[in-house]
Amino acid sequence: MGADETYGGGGLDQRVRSAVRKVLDVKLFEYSLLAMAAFLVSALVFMVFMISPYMAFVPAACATAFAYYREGWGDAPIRAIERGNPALRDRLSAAYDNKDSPNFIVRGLMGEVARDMDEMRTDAFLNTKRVDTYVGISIICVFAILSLLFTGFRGFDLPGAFGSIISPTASRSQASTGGGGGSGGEGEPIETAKSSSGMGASQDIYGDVSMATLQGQDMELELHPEYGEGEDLGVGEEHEELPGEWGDGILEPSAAETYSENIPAELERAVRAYFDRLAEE
Amino acid sequence: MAEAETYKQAKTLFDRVMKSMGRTIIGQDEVVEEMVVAIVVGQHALLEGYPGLGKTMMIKALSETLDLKFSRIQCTPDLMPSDITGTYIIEEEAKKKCFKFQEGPIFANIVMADEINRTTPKTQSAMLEAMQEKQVTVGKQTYPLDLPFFVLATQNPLEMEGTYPLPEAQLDRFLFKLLVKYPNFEDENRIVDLYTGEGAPRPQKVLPKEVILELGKLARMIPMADEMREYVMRLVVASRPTRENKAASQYLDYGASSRAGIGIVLASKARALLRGRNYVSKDDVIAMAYPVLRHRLILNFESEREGVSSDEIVGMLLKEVK
Repeated sequence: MGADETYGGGGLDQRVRSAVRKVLDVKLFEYSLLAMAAFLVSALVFMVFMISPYMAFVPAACATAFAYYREGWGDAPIRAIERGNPALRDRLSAAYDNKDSPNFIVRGLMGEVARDMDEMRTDAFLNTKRVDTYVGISIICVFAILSLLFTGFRGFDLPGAFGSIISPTASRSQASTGGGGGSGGEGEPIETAKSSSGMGASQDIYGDVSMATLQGQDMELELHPEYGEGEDLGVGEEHEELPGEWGDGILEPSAAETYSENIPAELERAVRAYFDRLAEE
Repeated sequence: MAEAETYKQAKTLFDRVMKSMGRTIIGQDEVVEEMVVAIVVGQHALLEGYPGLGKTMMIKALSETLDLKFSRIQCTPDLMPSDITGTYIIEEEAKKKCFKFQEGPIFANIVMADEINRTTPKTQSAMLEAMQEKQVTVGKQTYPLDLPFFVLATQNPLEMEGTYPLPEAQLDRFLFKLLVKYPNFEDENRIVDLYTGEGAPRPQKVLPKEVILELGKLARMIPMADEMREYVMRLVVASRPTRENKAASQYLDYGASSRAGIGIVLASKARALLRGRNYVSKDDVIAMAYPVLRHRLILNFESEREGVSSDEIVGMLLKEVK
């Protein structure tokens, strides 16, 4: 112990201000990392649920604002300085809180604290554990996002009304899937009716083949892309052709029972037997 | 000695006191330190322990070490208030009879009220004004007491027969309740050896009265962080049985008063000074919380049923408050 009169309240103030500047720089860096990590995590989640990744700015901003609020910015620099030099803990707070007190004990304490603060380095204020966490999360998210992009993963629909609120795009595609009867897969998005034919889309745009069991026999309900060719009228176009002259060939009316589905003979038999039994009942 | 000089030597002086006390009192360093803290801040202490553990000897040794005027009041059920404060006696002066105030044993620097819970509440209350105001009023006359004034009362555990429990108002006037515990085997062995040999050692006078008063002023100058003071306040508030305070609502009927908060802060400052620090640390607060709070917490039936002591409840409060 020993009263040091060479450092007054002003000396401590000056050193605290200088330390606070260093703390602010470090804090800015930490908040930037937090914002980046929060953005990447949100973007990843949004991509998985088919929400625009640009929306991730909102949770990132919220997380940063929350962290700023939680830090209690009023005395956060003092606490950060104390964290930077644990030996200063209690002493710095005691000196800083009593800096207006004129007694020689406080002046002596301020002198000691000021001397110790002179020896502090900027990196002492860095919360390395927190920084490591943010950087780690960011790296993992970047890899995950890149993986999603390269594998062509399209994302999951959000269920029910929640999905229609959060992700209108996803719910629209869900609606169109529902109208497609047996041709839709397990929630896989399909293109609109217009783009479903003649647009050079891949063969599996209708999704996985659905299965039905009829008369104890499993049968694939496959919708062949070629069935729709030539039937694309477009929206809002006027057609001068007569009915039955659309597309490449002329479509003739035919009775339902004469229409052939071009299905294997054994399946056709099963279908026919099923309908016959229905008629008898 | 100038204040600054006393401040620089505070730790050395305290170490000397402890060394001098250590010559006669063995294995009770914590209690001795708390007694010195109470004297430095000008407050009073209650000493509790089973008979034969050296309570009276400890106080006598302290008064000799601190070079203070010492008086002892042996409290009995028939002790009267005037036996403590003093009374008017008729005296003949120049062939003329007149009333003269005869000071009682309270007019000393260190007053030991031995077995205070054996005297009646009326007599116990006679010490209230002296302890709080540091003055005595007899008739129409008020007499100031010499400073430092320190009442050290000893008490036998309340469950012993023939005792009058101190009222809460009087208990609150004691800064500390100090527990004199059984010494450990080695210490007890040394005590027996010391007091069965030729001539027991006497403590040395190491601290003059003026220095004690200066230390008292210096203790109040020790800075304390706002955060630390708030911690003390939270601790005191947590001792009040409300819905938010789990331990207090479970085990206490009444919690600590504002005086407890003042006591913890003052005692922590004095402890920091005597240990050579120029700021109050959390260790000071935690160490002082036990003796300050233990007699201010009024336990309920639940705590007595479960056998939970005041110290255990203070421990719970310290865990609760962050």
